[in-house]
Amino acid sequence: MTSDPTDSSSLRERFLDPTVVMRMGGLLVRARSVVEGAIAGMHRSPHKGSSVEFAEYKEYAPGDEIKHIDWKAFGKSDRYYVKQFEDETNLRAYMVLDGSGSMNFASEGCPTKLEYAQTLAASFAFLMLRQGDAVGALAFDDQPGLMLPPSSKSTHLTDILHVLESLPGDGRTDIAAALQALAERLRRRGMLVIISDMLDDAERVMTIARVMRKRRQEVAIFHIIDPAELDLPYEGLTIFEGLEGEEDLLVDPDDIRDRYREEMRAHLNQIETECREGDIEYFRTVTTRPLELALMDFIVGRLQVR
Amino acid sequence: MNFLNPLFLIGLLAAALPIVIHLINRRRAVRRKFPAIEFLLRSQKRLARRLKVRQLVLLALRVAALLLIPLAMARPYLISDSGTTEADRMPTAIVFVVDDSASMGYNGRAVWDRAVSAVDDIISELRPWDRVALVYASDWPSGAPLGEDTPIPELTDAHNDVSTALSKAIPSERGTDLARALRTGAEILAASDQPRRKLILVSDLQKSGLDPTDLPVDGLGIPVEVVDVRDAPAQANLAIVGANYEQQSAGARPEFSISATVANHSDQDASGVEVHLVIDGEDVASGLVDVPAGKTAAQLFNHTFDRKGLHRAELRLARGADALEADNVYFLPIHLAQRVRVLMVNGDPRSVHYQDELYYMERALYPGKGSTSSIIPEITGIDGLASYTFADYDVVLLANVEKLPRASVRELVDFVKAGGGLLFIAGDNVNPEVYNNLFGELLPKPIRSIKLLARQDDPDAPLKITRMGQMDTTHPVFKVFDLPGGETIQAVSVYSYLLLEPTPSGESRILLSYTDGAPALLERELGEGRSALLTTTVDRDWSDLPIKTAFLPLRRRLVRYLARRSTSAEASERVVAAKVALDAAALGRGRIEVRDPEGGRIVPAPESTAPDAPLTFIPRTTGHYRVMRVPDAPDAEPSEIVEMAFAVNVAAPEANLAPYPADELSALLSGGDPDNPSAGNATVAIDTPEKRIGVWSSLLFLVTLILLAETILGTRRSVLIKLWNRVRGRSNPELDV
Repeated sequence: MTSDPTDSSSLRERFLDPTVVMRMGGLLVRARSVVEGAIAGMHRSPHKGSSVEFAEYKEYAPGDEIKHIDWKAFGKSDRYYVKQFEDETNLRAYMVLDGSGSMNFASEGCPTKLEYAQTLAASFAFLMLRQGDAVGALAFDDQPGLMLPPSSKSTHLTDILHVLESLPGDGRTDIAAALQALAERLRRRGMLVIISDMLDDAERVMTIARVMRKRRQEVAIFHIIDPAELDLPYEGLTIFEGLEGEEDLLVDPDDIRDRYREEMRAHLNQIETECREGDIEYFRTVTTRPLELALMDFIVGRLQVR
Repeated sequence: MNFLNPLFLIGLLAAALPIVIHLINRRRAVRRKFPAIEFLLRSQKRLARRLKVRQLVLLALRVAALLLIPLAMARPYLISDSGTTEADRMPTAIVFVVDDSASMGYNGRAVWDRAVSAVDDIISELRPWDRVALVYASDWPSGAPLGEDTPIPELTDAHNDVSTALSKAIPSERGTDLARALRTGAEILAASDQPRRKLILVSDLQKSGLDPTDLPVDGLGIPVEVVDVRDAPAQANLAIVGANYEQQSAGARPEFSISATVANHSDQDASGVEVHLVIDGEDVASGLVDVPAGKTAAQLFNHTFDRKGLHRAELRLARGADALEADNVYFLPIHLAQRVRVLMVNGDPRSVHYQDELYYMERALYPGKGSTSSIIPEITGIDGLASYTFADYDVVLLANVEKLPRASVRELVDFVKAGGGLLFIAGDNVNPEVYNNLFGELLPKPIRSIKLLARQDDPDAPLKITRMGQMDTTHPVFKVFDLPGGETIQAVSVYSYLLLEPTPSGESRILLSYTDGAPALLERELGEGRSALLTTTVDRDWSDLPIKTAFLPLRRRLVRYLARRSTSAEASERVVAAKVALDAAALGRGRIEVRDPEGGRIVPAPESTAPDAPLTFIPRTTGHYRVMRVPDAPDAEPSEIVEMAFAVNVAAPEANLAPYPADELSALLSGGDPDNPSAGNATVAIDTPEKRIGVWSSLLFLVTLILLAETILGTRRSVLIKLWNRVRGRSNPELDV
């Protein structure tokens, strides 16, 4: 009997690397600035004294406020549980996931960018949910796809994994359209985590990203790159086929390698510069890089902010 | 272009291979999906033109390489008169044999300049490892210093030394000796260890300058390249190739005939060639002479000298007569004898003066004390003859001599042959048989008998006697008798005379005859001298000649004519660069110096250690030379030994510019048969030789360059960059993430 690939556990196995989860277990994703949430010590909330409604228990983890330990539950189960309330987590993160054709590329010995992005997103969602923050997801290619509103329910991870699983790895990339669609829905401040190979009109993407930032959304971009995209390591006459319906190109990579690298470097520099100028967090990672390091960059970056 | 192995040209088809491969490669391209294709497209768009050019260049290089390889294997060559063959590229030892003889001054030195520039051209193409030497081909005794023309007798890699030496050199006035120079050059090359050796002869190739017998029979054994620098295939030249003089008369104002031999070394007659006679720097006469093509003609001048002693004459062609000036002048020293010494042997001496055989003769020649006559007679009898030496006299006169000792006769023969004059005068003592026997070698004609026409006391004598008749008025002695009053000689009455034997004409010349046709005075040439026979007497025994007015001029002119003449015949012709030997015995004591035409001092050296060894030196230039005695006293002025003065001229053969026929020269230099120039053991290239210039090595070199360029252009830039970085010790940069 084979397991259903859409089954929750199999999805977890697929997208969540236990090693990564283990290593990230003690870490918390913090908001860089004041968010609406008021979980003690975690996110300072501007809405003090607002109604709180019990939502669920969360097993105690170092860093949790001791005062929130439910001693009754401890008496019943002999385990420490921390009560979580509906409005306790105000950090609402949206993961904007690129599922275009260009993501479905892997050079030899590497995972596809899509696989890397999926695992990254899953790990991120897992971390967020574990610390009680709400995570939503938006898949997109040339147009916005599945959208999952943020939720901090522990079962929400399965939904997110389903969204990840549904990423097509096909079609053109249109990050701006996805962000635009998202912008229409966002009413509260939160965090946008864009996971993409950014093979799009960088200027257009950055414009809308800056708009989002101005609407007091924290924006972080995970730029996933395959090593081959950096170095164009191919030899011999090659017919290059685009993954998003571009025209073919017959060329000896050796002839254009330098020029290509210049173009690529300019592209990366442009994104990086615009992110810096637009107060947008930017994390570039190649698919050969261990995932936890990529996540660590993100988390460490946020720790420094505090 | 020609090919040694044209079969290899089939390989040219291989040039199609790169094109085929290029086309196949397009089909064999790998298909690869790539996400960032936008950047690829953008990069390719920017590089498209460059890449296309690069690919075309690569394709062209490959096609060119594949075309050139079979082309080179077919061993193409060009036929050219320039360029370098494979052999030319070997380290080469070259001896330049440069003709610096007088003829190279042709056409205002244009020929010489051409020779110098030809050598310079060859030198400019030499490689640093080639070695050169320089030998001059003018006729110059080896070992003697050359003056401004400095040879470079050892091979050197300082090529400029040859150019510098040549730039300082000028065409000499010397003759040509190509054979000696070629031998010298071959000897220099024989000692060289260069793999390739050759002689380069730069000359106008005068035939007269190359004596085939001076060359090794089997050739020089070394390739000879001949650079012919003639102005034209046939260089015309007029030259004075000789001059001589002859004293026509002695006396206070001696008359001389001076002749110049003008040679026309061309194939066209030269008419009206102007010849000048310059005496002691003064242009005294000129004349026009026609010289047939390839022949010589003499221009004769008669000149009377006002003073005795040495006169320096020059025979000159008019300035600008032809293209070669060096041989247009001939220097000729003219020595005028001071006086004529006559030894008169009296065969019938008498105590009564007027009865003496030589009474009238002596008076005619030397009137007495206070006389300024240049003729100094001395009289002796036969008995006293032993104390005289004939050689001390200019003329010996045997008057009615019965006979002489055999030794004296032999001495007399030598005397005449050496240029002395002898006059037999008839008389009663003359015995035809004895005379013919004793003086047969000297007599113009053998004597048959004495013919007595009449005795002087014979009343019918006027009817029986004969008189002087026809004379040769073209002869110097009788030239004046053609003038008014000259006929008085025909009034002479002759009672007896010697009848002579008939002999073939040509041996002797009858100058004066009797009216009955018998010879009265006749002469013959013997060696350098002359003997004459007067068949009657000079006293009044056989004729009344002594008392006739004609006697005096006849005697004096005859004696002067017979006298040891001042001629150029005995003077040896001296040419530039030929050793001059001065007779030390004649020079006497004292230090001897020679002054060259410019007044430069030359100290001649003894030829050997022998006490009387001649003093020798080698004249460098043409002109009049003076021999000086330098007194031991420090303040004393050197005095000229006038009689030793001499002149030096350009060697006559040098004037003949006719070239050696190319094929004969080729055969000669290669040691082959002149009739079959291809035979021989050494290659001889005349003038600019036709060469087979192999181009395959150049093609292969080109292929190497093309392949190198193809390798660099075709190698992946990534590999080159890696290599370059490795060379520079840098790691290969990668795009930072």
